[in-house]
Amino acid sequence: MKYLDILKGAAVAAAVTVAGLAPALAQDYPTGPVTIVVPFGQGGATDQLARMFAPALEERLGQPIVIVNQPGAGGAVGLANLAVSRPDGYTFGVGSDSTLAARPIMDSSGYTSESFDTVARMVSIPSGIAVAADSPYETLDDLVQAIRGGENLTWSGSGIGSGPHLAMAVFLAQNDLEATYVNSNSGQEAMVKLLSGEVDFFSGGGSNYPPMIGDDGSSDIRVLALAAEERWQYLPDVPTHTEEGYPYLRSQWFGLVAPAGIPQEAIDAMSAAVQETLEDPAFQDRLDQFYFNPAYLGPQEMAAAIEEEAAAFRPILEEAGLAAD
Amino acid sequence: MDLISHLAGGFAEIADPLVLLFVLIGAIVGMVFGAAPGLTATSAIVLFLPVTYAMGPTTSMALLLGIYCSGYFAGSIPAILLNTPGAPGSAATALDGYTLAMQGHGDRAIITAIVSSFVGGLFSLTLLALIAPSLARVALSFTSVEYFTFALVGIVCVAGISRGSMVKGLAAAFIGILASTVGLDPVSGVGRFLFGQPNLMGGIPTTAALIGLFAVAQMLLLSTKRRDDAEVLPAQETTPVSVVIGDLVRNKWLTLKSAAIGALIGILPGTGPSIASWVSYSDALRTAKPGDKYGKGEVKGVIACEVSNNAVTGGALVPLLTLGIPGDPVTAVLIGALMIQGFETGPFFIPQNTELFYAILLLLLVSNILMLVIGISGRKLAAKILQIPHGIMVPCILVVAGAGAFSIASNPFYLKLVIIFGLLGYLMVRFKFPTAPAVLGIVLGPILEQNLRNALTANQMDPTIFFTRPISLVTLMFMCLLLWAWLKPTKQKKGKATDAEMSG
Repeated sequence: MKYLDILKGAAVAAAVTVAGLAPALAQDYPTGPVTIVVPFGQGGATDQLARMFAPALEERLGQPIVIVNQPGAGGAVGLANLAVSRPDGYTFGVGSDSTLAARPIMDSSGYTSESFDTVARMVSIPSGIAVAADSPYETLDDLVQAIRGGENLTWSGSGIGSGPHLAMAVFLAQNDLEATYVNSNSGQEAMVKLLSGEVDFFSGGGSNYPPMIGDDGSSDIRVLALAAEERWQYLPDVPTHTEEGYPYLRSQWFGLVAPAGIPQEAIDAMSAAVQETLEDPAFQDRLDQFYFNPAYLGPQEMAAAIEEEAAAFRPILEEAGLAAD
Repeated sequence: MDLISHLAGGFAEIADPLVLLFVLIGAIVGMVFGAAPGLTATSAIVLFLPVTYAMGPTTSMALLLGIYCSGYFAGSIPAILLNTPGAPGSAATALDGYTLAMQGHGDRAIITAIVSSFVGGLFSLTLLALIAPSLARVALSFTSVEYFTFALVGIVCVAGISRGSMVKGLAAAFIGILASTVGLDPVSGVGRFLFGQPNLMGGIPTTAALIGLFAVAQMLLLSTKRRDDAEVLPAQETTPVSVVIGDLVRNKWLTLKSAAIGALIGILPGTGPSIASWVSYSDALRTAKPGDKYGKGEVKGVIACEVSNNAVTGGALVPLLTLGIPGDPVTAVLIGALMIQGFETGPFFIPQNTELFYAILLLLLVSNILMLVIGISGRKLAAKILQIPHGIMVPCILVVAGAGAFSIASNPFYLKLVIIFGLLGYLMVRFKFPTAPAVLGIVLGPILEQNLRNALTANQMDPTIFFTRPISLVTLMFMCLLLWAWLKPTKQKKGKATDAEMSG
């Protein structure tokens, strides 16, 4: 199966070269294979998501989808190269809240918010906050009151400028709270810091938590709240921030973008294919495996969502000295 | 009780003809690469890494661990027959091995090397099975403070690898650390040394640096070198394996001690088979009995080196699987191999992937057995690899290296990096700077930096935290002990080098 994929990839790469020489885009898009750049390594959640989407999109578009993994700098390297690739409608990339809304504000990103055309938001995971099971903080309110009471607490999440980092930083700023951020390279590394007692609380997308909880409900961690509108289907016992008295909505999401200036028909066709895929009940079962919620937004809505998040992130990034001048 | 069911699970994982086939392929590849001078187990693993992308985790580990075990051993074949160690770890073996070959006992030396490697491998495997699961549990209580001191010991050990010139070893390590600072600052997120090149945001991938420093540099060196004809050895008498086993049994304490030294050195982050074989060789010298003729064809010399350099394999996997810190350059590549399969090494690895962990243990066992069988049956053939003309070998390896570099991240930019690091590696080897410390510098640099900064941030910038946490304090004291042990003999030999070393 996998070997076949590689052979297919090679054949497709050759076909792409030929297609590149062909004259302008035909009306009946797509006429050739479509590349999706995953700016993360093989095996990660983003990669699995793209590989789950690929066969469904192939079926709807009638052309092979090629996944190219180009990892580096939390997704920024792959997107920087996508930004300068040919806007012919045959190259797309997977972006996220942090790479599309925060990274362009930051120094030395290699792209700006104008570098891409938004195509479709695909899935989201609510942001969450957790403490170790032996922590004195039983609820989100306990934690907030402790910080207000002058306790110097530390926290961690997957990397500075990442979705989980920004989600918590925005929450703390909105509630006038101060806590010390200790950096980690991945969500798992941050989880190790939580369990070792090095940090007092943890910020991460909801998908971090279910694997940590045993079948009998026992766990080394306690999830205090999730920043969603309603309770999350995979953790029905965990309250929302709003229920806890601190209204806050934030999710980590993934969506398709393309280099700016691609033909409108390519955007429309791809966006429609993503929407149809997400509406397929069989596909939703597969999303369950990775604790993703289907979260389709069309091209304009997605662009608006990015702008809104960028506005929330900007003051945080400026205060941290990360924003470009 | 638990162990048995886990082992059974592991068996189920590896009881697949494809998996076993790949261990075999790995063992043969390791044998070839180890025996060819200039090619090492490390370069073999780097070159074959891209092949594993499409495999499952068990198959991929099967191939890589097969290369790992037999590659570490095979370097001793050219060391014994040609006085040219196939890998740095076999340099010490040449001392007695080559002398034995000149006396017509080359076959005995090779069989001794094979059997000793097997014993060393088994010893370290047992150690890994016994301590890794419990260490993983302990590791969950480690914080940035401990990780920083471990990495610091690693850097100190790196300096120790480079016997002869500790200064050059340290310089090479610092070149690696410098290269590791390229990319987004891991703590503040600001870009460093990007030169307007977005591809550098992700930093320099260890694999690209490894391919450049090891494979490309060595090929450049080979292509400038004229072929040396092997000195003519006397006809070699064949030795039955039973004689060699008798040797080992007679020297059981030496064997055990060398195995322990090898495994412990493997556990230390940053050290590898080179230092292990030198340390146990010098220890064997220290405890030599009257009548031993070390350096003039002493079988015990071969035993000490070979037992310990293969005992490194299991030991080096301990910090990799429990802390996510590589024990030697090869395990640094294994981190990447596991990551591609979706596994993150660290304290969660064993609890969450128990089956895979036991499969890895069994694969190591199988690799060691295969190494023994292939080594004994194919030892004459392996010597032939030395005769492949450079004109064929160099271009082949370079093509594979290029393909490997591209496939790290389907990014053509990394090809440029590999060329740059190849030239750098060539210059380093020409001017006798060891390249292994540079690679470990790239791996350990970020661990040092991030954990130092995190430890201080989390503790209100209070540096005393490194002395008040017990494990960290013990580690630092151990480091001082190592430094003392390494610097003392050098001081006696030549006093004027001392200043430079103290400041380094």
